[in-house]
Amino acid sequence: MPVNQKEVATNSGNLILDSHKLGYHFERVTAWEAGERIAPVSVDMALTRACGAMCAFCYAMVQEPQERSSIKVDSALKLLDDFKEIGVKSVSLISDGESTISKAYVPFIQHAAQRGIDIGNATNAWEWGPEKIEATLPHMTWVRFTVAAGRPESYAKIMFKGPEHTQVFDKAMANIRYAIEYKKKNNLPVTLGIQMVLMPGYKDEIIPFAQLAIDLGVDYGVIKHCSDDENGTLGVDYSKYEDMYALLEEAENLSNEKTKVIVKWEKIMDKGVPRYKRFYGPQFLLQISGSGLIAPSGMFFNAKFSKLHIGNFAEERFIDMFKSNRYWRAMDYLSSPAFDAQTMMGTLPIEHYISVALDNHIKGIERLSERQGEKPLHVNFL
Amino acid sequence: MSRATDSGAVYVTMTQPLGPSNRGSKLLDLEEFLKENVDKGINIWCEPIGDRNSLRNLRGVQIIN
Repeated sequence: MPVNQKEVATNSGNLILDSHKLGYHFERVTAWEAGERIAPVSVDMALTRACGAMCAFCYAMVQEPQERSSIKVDSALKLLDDFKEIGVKSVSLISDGESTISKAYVPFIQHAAQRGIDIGNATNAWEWGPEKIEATLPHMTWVRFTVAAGRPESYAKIMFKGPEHTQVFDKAMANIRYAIEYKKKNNLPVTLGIQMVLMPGYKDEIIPFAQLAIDLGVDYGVIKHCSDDENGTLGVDYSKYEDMYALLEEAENLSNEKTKVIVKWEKIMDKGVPRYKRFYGPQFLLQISGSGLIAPSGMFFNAKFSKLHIGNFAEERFIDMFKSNRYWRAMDYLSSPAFDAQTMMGTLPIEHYISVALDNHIKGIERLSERQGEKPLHVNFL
Repeated sequence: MSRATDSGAVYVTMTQPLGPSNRGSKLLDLEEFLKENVDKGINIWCEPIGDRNSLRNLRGVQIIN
């Protein structure tokens, strides 16, 4: 049986990828439990819904909202000002689009750093060349590259039009290697990792992916589950992950002093069925679509979930929405008996770890407590 | 209303565009009304929309309702 390591020791500090960091933000847990209207610790968002890739596992395929707004630089920077005002500590540029292709990308990262908000970015690195790397890497806490497979042909088949299009792999590797060198040359504190989204059919890609992480010399290579919507649109068969446990352990064993290979066991072993019915996580980790749409979680970006749509930061200030009744009505709905996370939303949301922990906390199964001592890496990213 | 299922899901289609700052509250109001006056098990959903990204669309993924 695989062992879920909550913290993985790296050369730069302890890394928590398969758990949560709520204990380091316990004052917000206490306030939430007392019924206060808390600001999210982290926001996961994109600056566009566009993307030049066509990953077979992409959850954005089921996240189309009613309308798209173009996110202008000015709106994006004001969003950060609002985050600072209410107490958001970190922003992850992930969500439902490839933010590196947005005009707001570089100024957004530079402004976040200036306002003292930690920032991380997940990217395919296809449009993340030396100029953007040099402008942004010194300001970021982490960058995680989506690398669907370790072999060029498999990578091109999963992430683009077919196995013959290996130029996309070559471009990504060139940019990732440049970032690794730039980090080393300038002694930057940023963590660099690669990520594989594991679909049941990708069994043969596990070891080549882990080997690529080692060969690149990134800080980590992480292998995670694939999310699906509540109707199984992407066709992820969670029962098939168990057949891959031995290979996943073999991949982890390739870890060396420099590079750790990490499997998100907790999510993979949950097999797509959450243990919680109430969805408390979004109050601590809010998601924003690359369309500008504010909804509590990426699970609810699709037009289907319009009843949980709060507003659009390209049309009005985020701080006004945060203070509005509609923000709290949507959040309260998810915490109420009217909502059932097991049947009314997709699988394994980004708020999964914190939602499990908060549910256990409220039920008294495992109470959260304040964590003290040395902080893990990326402590402000829940 | 476009359709309803045995499990209490009631699907609606908006005949006119309703901005993101208005539609959430209006739909929750409607759901509350139906829960109080018709059946507690009713849940309101809008008809889902497929991915508009032209490249990702080549994958041919169809939203399952």
